[in-house]
Amino acid sequence: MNLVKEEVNTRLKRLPSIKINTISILVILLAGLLIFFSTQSPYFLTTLNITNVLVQVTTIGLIAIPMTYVIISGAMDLSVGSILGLSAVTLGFLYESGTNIWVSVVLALVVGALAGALNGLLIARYKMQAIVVTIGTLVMLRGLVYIITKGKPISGYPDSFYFLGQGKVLGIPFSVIVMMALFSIAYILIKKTRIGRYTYALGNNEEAVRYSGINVVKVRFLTFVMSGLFAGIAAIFYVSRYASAQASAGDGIELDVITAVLIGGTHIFGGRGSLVGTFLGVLIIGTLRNGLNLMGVSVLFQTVILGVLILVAVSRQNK
Amino acid sequence: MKKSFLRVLALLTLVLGLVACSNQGGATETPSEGDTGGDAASTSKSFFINPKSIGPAYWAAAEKGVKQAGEDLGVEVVFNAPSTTDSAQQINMIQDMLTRQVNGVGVAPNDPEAVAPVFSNALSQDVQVVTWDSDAPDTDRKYYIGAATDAELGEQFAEMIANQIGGSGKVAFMVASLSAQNQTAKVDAATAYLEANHPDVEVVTTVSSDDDQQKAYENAQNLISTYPDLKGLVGFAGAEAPAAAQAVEEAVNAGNIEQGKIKIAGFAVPSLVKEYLENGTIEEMVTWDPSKLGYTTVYTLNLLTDGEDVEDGMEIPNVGSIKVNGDIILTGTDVLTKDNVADFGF
Repeated sequence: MNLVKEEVNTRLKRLPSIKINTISILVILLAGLLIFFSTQSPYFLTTLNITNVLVQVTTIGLIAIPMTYVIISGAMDLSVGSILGLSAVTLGFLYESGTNIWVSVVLALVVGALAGALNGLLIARYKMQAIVVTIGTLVMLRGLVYIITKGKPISGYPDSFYFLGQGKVLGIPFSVIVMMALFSIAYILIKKTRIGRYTYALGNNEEAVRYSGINVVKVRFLTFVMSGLFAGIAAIFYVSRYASAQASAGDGIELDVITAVLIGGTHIFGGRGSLVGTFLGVLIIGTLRNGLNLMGVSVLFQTVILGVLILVAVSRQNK
Repeated sequence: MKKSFLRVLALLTLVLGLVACSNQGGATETPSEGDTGGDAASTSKSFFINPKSIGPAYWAAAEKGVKQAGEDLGVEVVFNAPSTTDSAQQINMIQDMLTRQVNGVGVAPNDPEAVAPVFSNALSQDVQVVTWDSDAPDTDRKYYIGAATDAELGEQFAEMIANQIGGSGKVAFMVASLSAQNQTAKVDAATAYLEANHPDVEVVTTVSSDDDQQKAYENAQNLISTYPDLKGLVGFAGAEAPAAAQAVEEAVNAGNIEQGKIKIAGFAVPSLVKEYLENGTIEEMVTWDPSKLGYTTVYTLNLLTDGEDVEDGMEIPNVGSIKVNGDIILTGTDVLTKDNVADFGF
């Protein structure tokens, strides 16, 4: 059994050489976009605009961190948008009914993690298909959101709470600092720890991993709890930034998140991928949207261009 | 790896090509120098006009007015919004346009509370902010541009139905929601107006469709069979009147009621009631032209950036005279009949 474990480990050590190439391509693509948009709009390469782009991608970026883990492990989480919505309105609902704002924040995170745990339980423990389970929770949790809010946005939070999504530390938006920090921690976790290696191994060959004595259920369960928790974190920043928790918060965001992860070179069937790639994928989506907005390009064209990006990203995965 | 590098290179070319295309096509921009030719003197001004979403015919009709105003006034207008009514994406877009240093923004907010931070941000950069179609009263916006107040609309509906049924008889109100403020305000105004001016008109009930056309249709069927002496149905939202008309038409065809016994009034989306106006099931409805809202929004922003202001009763070309009541600008409603229903683009 240890032999299999060894085999998994040595195979994983060969991965970096593949990744470097994917990442250099992404860097070239991002640089190309930056150069192109800076020739098109004088406002593109300004501190203000770069800050804007970074703040705008925090929602997608935060959720893309665990999504990378989930997809590398060979699964999928389509319910993140609904979990974001649920955490957001939980926060709003609790605060509105008299709970302290920071207690509400913590409880909103707990709700996010619990929703993720529900996914994890069904998928890891009861071996149900991840896509099917998360489509189910996507629909169910969004319904719950509408029940809680009755369709109306919940607003009016204390000023101290607005710091999270709107405040700055040393000129850098606080939400961006948090996103960067979490990306770094997740990067170290997946590179240096056993949990990280098991995540890759799960996506490569779940059976082999199981026989090598690794607790498959636990690892997979954890990735989904993380996914829910991070959707909750994204929800906190979302409510703080927009000063409002509306029932449609996060609706459809799973598509943006998965797009970012796929553009970042993570294989849709798992086993391969990287957080650096995801981070670049997030930046590429954010830059593209922002640049096209600055040029005044209709959102209808923007959607087409994003679609082309997804197709190309997936076309690289045909082997 | 070489292969995938080529693919990405191809992608880059494609993306940039697409961008170039869409830019040349001028999907949303009206660059004043090319189109207007003559009066390209004040080309430096640009406005961002932001509907709730891109796609629905209502907003496409509004875009016509926005572009017309851009041409007439010689200003650049950008008309853009997310493809869904997503508040977060809408706010990101407003923020991007502020970076582009537009001189004014006109927003139809998806979430009236959530736009407050980005509005104050705009004002701190000396960008003029107005809302249109939907208001965000608790923000720093300078004006709200709408067709009429809820109270005015309610009174117009009441007058229209009272008129059609000859000033006496039973009517029922059909609303999209029993709790939404824009619905309850109209109902209250209509009820008060009838009590004061047409005491012989009795409102037997108010039913809600929850914005569901199928439910509105069932509501109308139930009303027709529950109240055999019903003379009028008043629709307070877009889904109600066509549903009422369908139910009335079917009851007439089935021989349950006589043609013309039940009148229909209220608000209507022209394209949805066109066939009922043409076949006589509906005589007239209240509506408004979103292109006038769009035109007035650009016109108002242009005045504000010139340091001028709107005045009550002032004439706006292509729109007519406007009412200014505090920080609310009203462009007025239209009476929709079979003769003008084709003139509306939504």
